[in-house]
Amino acid sequence: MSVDRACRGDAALVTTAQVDQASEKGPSWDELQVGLVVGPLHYTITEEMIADFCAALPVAEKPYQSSSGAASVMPPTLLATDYIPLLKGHLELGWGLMARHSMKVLRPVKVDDKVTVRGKITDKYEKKGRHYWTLQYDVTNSSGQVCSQSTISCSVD
Amino acid sequence: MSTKPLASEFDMSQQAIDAFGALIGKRVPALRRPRGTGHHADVEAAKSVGLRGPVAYSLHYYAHVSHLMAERFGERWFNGGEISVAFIKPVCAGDRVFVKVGERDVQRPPESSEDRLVFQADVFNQLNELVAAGHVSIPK
Repeated sequence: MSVDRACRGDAALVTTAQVDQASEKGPSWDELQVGLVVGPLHYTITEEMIADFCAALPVAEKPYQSSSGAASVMPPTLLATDYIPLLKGHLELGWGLMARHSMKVLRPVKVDDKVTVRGKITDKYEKKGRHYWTLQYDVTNSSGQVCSQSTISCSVD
Repeated sequence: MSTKPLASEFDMSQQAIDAFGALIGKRVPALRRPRGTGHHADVEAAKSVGLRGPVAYSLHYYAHVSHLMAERFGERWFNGGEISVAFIKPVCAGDRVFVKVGERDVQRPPESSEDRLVFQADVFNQLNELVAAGHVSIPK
């Protein structure tokens, strides 16, 4: 399918583009193995990360601030784009279409929390001539508690 | 919806797309890309694959849905919120984006238990085209 068709609004097609994020060529969809574990990525969540995220959207930081006005809780979707670094070297994202993203927010991630992001390829399939992959990925805190669980399905050309 | 519908709108400017994309590179420097390149920033690259212009990151407006829930429900969103959105059409630089939660009746997802409040989540562009849709929920 061309993206042109997507832009013309073919309702039968699932179509938001998510594009060549990785500059280096990686393995193809054919080589992708269901069950592949990806990550971990490690971060310490900072006030700056929250401020940058809110500024980029752009939205007010207030829902994520403590009564003192300092950022205290990470916006739950701040690490949602981590599917990109998780898949780096495992799948050439190239040109593709994001079909769906789902997230369960189980507990808040606080400023200064050290978190780990890990994922697993849970499905790959063909639909209407396109190749899709599904990744589940979790954010856990330093106590090993799962803070959020995400599932993303995208096509890749 | 048991509360007033939630809504926000914003311009998906090229600057906004660049700012959102830069977050990834700031977190993971190996993924930094030269400014103005790729289908998120380069008009010609975007048009070469049939887009009207540089395409936005779908997780950008997805984040706005989550933000509306954080604004309204706070701790209830941070402790048990759920979101699921399907992306229907691309959003491009220069589009106006309208995010709406709870404005129309939701078709309760089959996996959702009765002890959750479930709301429809929709994203429209300036042509009133539905570009993304799904649902959000919190524990009752």
